[in-house]
Amino acid sequence: MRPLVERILADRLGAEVSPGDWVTPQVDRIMVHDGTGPTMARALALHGITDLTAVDKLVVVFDHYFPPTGPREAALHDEARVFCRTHEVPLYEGQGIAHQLLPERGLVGPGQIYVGADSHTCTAGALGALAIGLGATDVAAVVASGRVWMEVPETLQVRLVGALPAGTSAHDLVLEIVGRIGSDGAAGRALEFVGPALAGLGMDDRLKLANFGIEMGAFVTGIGVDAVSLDWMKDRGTDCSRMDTALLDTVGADAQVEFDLGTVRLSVAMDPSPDKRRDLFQVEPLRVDQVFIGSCAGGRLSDLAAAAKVLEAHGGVRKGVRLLVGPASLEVHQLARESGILGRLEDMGAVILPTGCGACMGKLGALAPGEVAVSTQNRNFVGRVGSPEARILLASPEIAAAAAALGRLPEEAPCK
Amino acid sequence: MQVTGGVLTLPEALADHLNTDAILASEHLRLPEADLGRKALANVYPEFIAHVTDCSILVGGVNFGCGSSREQAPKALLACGIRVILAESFATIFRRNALNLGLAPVVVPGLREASLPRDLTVVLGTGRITGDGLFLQGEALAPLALRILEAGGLLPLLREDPAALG
Repeated sequence: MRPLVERILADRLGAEVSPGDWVTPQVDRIMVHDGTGPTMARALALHGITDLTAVDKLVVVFDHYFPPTGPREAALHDEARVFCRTHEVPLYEGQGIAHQLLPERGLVGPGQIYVGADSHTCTAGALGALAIGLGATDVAAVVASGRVWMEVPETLQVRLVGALPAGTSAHDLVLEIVGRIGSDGAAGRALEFVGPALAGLGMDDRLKLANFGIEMGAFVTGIGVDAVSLDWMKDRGTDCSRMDTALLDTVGADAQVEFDLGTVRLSVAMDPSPDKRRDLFQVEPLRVDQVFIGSCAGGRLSDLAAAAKVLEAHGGVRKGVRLLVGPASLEVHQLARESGILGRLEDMGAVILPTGCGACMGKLGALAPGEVAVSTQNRNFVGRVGSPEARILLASPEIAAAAAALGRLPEEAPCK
Repeated sequence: MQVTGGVLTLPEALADHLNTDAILASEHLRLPEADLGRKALANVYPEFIAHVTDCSILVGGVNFGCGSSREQAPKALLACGIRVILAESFATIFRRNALNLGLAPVVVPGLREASLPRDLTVVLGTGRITGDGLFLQGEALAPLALRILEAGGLLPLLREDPAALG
């Protein structure tokens, strides 16, 4: 099977494409958030561009600064609201992180070309979309012209085989893959996951996997569609009319890399880069001050459920440790509440945050100098969450929950 | 199109995998654009602002500009007077953002081994880099990329020619 990115582009352009070709395909969906939206609107105004050909494809999501923590952020929201009213653009305020919200609301589908003004836009590649993270000016140009410029990328195919060992999770798998590929191992390329093991990964796991594509430098992440993803999309109003171009390659005969899920071990990514993966048991049991279970990487229902289970087995949050839980969307929040997960987490000492990006970027839950955090988010760069002298370790919800219970990195596999 | 100017090489420890959080931390994202330059690399290289004076060419290593899509990162470098970045490789979103804003990203294989003079001239259409007897061959920018830079960025280009992307 040809690489997913080439199939989608050929379908759109009506001609075969090859890596290195410069193309300007039309775009089906455009997203900006409260950080990049106002920047986009100002850039258009600054350059006097008023003819917005593709504004009907735009959605605006308030996730980075919702609710605002100060007047500057509140003013940004106001600015974005005015733009949305003027151009009749749908606005989602505090409904979830864009990368979870757009798939959930059926706003992006297989075979579609979707651009978002945020690097983790690649998450929607889990639905078989060509999902491209861009900057605000780039997206402004798409809103104006309806098209995105690109050099057709080479594809790096990773073939997944085998099954996860008991006690490990998809989060460990993702950190292992990022560690093995490296932070620029897929630089500028389309990173595509293929192979038989995908059948065993649900949508929460696939969205997580696709989400980390940018942490390996990928231009886009791709996972073709199969019964699992189509079933997930079926009641969401998703446009699946182009799904035939985006089918999952379950064989993966041409893959350059093979990854056996059976080799996955409990993993921690050390600061300051998500690719600094270590075996949990090779890391000294550092004291932990704060734990964050949330974000577009690790804030889905399965993440919250896994965390609650481990936390229960360990007897709740240790005194002096802060456990912050941030559901990736309102839908996740509601499902977690209805199934009792949120209540149990709260009873065990967790603070439930409003859905959004806040604690992944230090808008909420900023760290003090010298503090150590364990987080299910995707980035642990210097200064990402508060003080540049704080440390951020990335791990699964299971390991993060155990750290919240113990006040240090666990030395044994988390109890379940 | 060519750029001649002073050269600032990033310190060895920062040159590779310089991420956009490091180029401009989240806490400064909402500053007025004219003020972004003052905070460029502030967390990781506080002397940058002093060192970059009179320089328009910044030299990095591999995977320059990885991480977040924040275009305040290239804007901060532009505000410091940088017009060209030479690197062994660029992160994909940063490379696009830079081009779209009129900052030229030029890939130069073997850059690390070169001993660079204080001033260089970079010819963007050919990738030719010269200065004080030195010659380096960088990658030429593609015609559309060059067109974007010549217009001063993607939006100025679209303003000039709304059909520039087809």
